[in-house]
Amino acid sequence: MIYFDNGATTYPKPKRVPKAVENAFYEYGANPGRSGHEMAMQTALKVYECRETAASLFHHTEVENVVFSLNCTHAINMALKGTLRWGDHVIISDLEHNSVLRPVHCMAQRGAITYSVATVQSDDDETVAAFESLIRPNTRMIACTHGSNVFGIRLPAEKIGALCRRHGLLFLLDAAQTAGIVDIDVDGWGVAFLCTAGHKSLYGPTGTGLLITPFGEALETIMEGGTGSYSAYYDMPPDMPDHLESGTVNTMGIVGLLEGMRFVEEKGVDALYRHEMEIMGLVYHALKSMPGVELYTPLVAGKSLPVLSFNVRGKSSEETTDLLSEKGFALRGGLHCAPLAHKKMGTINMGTARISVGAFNTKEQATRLCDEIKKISA
Amino acid sequence: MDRAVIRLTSVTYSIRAQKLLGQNGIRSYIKRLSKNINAHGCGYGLEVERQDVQRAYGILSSSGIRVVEIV
Repeated sequence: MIYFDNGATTYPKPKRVPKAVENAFYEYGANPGRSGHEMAMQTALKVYECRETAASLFHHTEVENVVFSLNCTHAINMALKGTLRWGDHVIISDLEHNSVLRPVHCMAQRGAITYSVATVQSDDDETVAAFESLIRPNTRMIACTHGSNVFGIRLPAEKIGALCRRHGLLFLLDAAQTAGIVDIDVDGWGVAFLCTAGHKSLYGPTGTGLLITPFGEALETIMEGGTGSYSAYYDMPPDMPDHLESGTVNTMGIVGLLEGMRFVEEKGVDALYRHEMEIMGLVYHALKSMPGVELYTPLVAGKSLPVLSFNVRGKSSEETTDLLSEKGFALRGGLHCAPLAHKKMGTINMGTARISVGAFNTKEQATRLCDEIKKISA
Repeated sequence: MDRAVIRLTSVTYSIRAQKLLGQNGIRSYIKRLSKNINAHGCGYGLEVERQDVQRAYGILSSSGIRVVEIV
């Protein structure tokens, strides 16, 4: 099987990841932050190491502001529902994944908040202007994706962060598709809530995610429970990260995530991006020359993400991915949990087939994929 | 050796504090605390030599690490 579904989750993981996870069952099998014996302390230290690595990777100074979540969606829900109050207004983009759209829409349906959708433009300054034009007196937050999981369009996060600073808004950045391939500067860009998955381009196991926020102590909690601290109190501890981490954390996943992030650090975020874009470029130019294939976005080095949507004329996206699956290629078809993005691009009725590149893909694999798409589309 | 324990808010802060004190030449040990359990519940802190307590307290406070109590 040749895997081009890295936008859903990366595969394979670096060998050191499963090895570290397996080892964790023996070396870090105790509950971190609950007991005082040697293994519990060693496990707590390992978990702390992962927080430190995440804080460093995303340029945030306070290690305790790194919160482990189940996934990116969980992190986004913690930030949105912990921050927004009755009457608040939020601006999202027209490229959002359901991880942002659904919680925002749900809160709006319940009458708690209102939201507007900014149109992402090909020009970054026009995109920022589109967000700015929607700001109201009660706007509290801009919550947007850093890059489309369907069309690979990257939003100008740094400029949106600056816009938020100018208007006193909170900035939530969904970095599920960018963390690990784009250098994200939480402190420099003024990101109030960085939400990301651990299992995509950070190469950790599924079931891991991160919320990095300097505003954690001010959040209302969406889940309460044991933390191993302040346990005589009926209220959640006020201090981070315990305030937002109820129940035992996913130690094995966290150990794997640590190794995944170390892999990213060692390879280098920019080098990983260049590698993936080189392969994506090869695919893009091959597909562009096929009359039976429809593409929806240009591929711009330094701006696009290594994610490309296409359709074979006369076939549904799922038919295309099924045919490719029969030939041993793993791609995803459908709406990719992003109906707004498909409405924007006019693909809501048929969806798209998506090629998403990872660190372990090769040019040779890309050539074989293109050959197969050519046969299907002929 | 006469030792004191600086109670901190969590195991995460205890690890951060231990690293910080180490950088400032103060040795400390992370301990699970059972004293005053009725007041604060379970928790963690750093055991340091009593002669280092005031300096340690100053370093932690100036770094934004909240000290719950010294026992």
